Amino acid sequence: MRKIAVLAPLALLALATAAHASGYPGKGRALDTLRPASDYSDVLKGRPLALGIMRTRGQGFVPSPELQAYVQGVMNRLLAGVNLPPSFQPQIRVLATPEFAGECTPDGTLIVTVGLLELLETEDELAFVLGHELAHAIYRHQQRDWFKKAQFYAVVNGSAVDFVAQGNVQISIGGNANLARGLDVAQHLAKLSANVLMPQMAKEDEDAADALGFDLMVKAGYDPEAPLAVMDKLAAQEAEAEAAADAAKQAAQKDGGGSKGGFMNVLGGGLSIAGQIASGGRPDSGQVADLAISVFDSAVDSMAEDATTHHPARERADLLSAYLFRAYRDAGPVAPTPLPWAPDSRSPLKPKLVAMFAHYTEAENAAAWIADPSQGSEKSAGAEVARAVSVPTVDHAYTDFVAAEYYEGRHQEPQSLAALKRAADGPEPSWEIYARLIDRYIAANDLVSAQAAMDRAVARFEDSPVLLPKRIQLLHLEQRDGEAKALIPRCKSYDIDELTAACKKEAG
Amino acid sequence: MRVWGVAALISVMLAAPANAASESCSATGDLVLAARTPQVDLYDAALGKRVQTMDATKFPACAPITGRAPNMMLQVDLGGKNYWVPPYMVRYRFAGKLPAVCRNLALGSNSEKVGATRGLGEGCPNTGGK
Repeated sequence: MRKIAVLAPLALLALATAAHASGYPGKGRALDTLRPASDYSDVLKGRPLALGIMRTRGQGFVPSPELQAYVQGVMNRLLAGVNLPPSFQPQIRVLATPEFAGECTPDGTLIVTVGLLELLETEDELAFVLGHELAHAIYRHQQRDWFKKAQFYAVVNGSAVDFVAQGNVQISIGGNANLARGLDVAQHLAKLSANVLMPQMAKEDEDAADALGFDLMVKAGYDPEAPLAVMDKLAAQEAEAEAAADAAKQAAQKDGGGSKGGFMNVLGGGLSIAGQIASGGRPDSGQVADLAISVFDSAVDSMAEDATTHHPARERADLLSAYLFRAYRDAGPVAPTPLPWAPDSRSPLKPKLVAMFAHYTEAENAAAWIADPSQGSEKSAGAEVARAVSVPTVDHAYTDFVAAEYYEGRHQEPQSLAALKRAADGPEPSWEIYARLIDRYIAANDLVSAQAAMDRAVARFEDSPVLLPKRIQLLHLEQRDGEAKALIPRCKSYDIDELTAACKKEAG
Repeated sequence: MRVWGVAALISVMLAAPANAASESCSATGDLVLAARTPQVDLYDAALGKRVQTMDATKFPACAPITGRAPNMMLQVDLGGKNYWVPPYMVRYRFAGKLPAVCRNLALGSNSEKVGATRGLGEGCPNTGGK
């Protein structure tokens, strides 16, 4: 007790100093001294490319006009009364992934994930997340190499996770116990690698966004305690990620560490395995286990390096606390606003959004069972899958992807293929849907259908470089080697060595 | 421009700030460990009025948390009397899982989420959300 009392003033002094140096305003409120740019037209030019990159992540965007309109409405409420030029045109996209994430692309697209929306407890918490991301857009916080890094992440992560998962399905049919472990690793990889590979903001920029985001939400009448609740959740996520990284490292050491030489060597291994699958062969369990371990090991190594720049949620919470105390102490408690899908909501959107989120939840549960049979049961997973692909999510990429995986594991090929086709024809298909569909056609030696699906994917994903290795692979199988090699310069044009290597490998 | 971290796991174990107060507080249960701001405001209700202010140096360590409101205000037992404090003003620690607020149970509340998103709805009454 005495020790705490003595230390507290020193700690608070240090905190105040840190707050000043960290991106928080030295005095007053961030909103009061805000000087937005006079023109945001230049960043808007990057929107098509940024959206193209984001759409190749996870299972694409959630095609729900109701959800889109709701989140957009919260964002508009935050911006009411803020003097910004007409060229400032932020927009919202909800990414279909169970990750807990919010992002802002350089063009001012605010990305929130299904996983984030599931975890947030009030609209006030959502308002803080959106306010924070809006602040990044207003301040024009953007890494100069965002596009390259994000593209790299999309290429490497998308392909690696896809191939790890794909290999595991094949092994499952052979009854090998490595299936569950490998798919589980693939899921963890998705979590870790996004944390590691995606561009990170500088600490100062994060703090500045926390301060302005907080100002925006309080100005809009939201609960000033909500940001602390968000930080608590984020801290829990960080603790989970850290534990996962430790476990992965131990597993990698126990299994010999897998192959060396970087992420793309691992991806190369994945492509090789995919080639075996495509040709009707099956990779052995050792190959897949080695691939999974290597990918994970690489991600963990990267995470260790990234730790030097990471700004932990606990630190951010302390800085927010000091800011609240200094600038908002008299604000007083506010009753939070329920999210429209919460039990106490009276929103007219509630019926549709409750149904939609329930289906995503069920698909996530089924995916957990597919990855790890100790989580749930086959019977429950089957029921969950059946519900997840009914109205209103009948053609959503996430739910259909999980359904396709489930049916594939049960040797129900027609149902699996139907799920993939449904999503491919849906309003927001994912690249993973198309990749899996094309693989099925290739496995059935139906190269005409495979090429038709690839042509649609090229159009729907704005000719994303993520598609290039598989495009080349397919052309090679069709004995169109000239066209395959003609794509190599395009691979090189992205200046991602690993992409170039993968393209060359597929071109033979 | 990734900001929030990524893990999909919805464990709601509350990771309160690790600090000297946390280490020196040997009591178990849900606790307010110490003040976080130079002064702590005490309220008569979660949405009530400020009734008292305490200097951080006088705020007791290891005060039991007796309740948590939907707006995250913490009810604290201070010398046998209950007050509500804003969580940003104190360091706190929950033993195990964060007490369920049970606000966001529409997401398939007939079954707890498992695996990658476990935790949602745990400890809450089944409201038949679907």
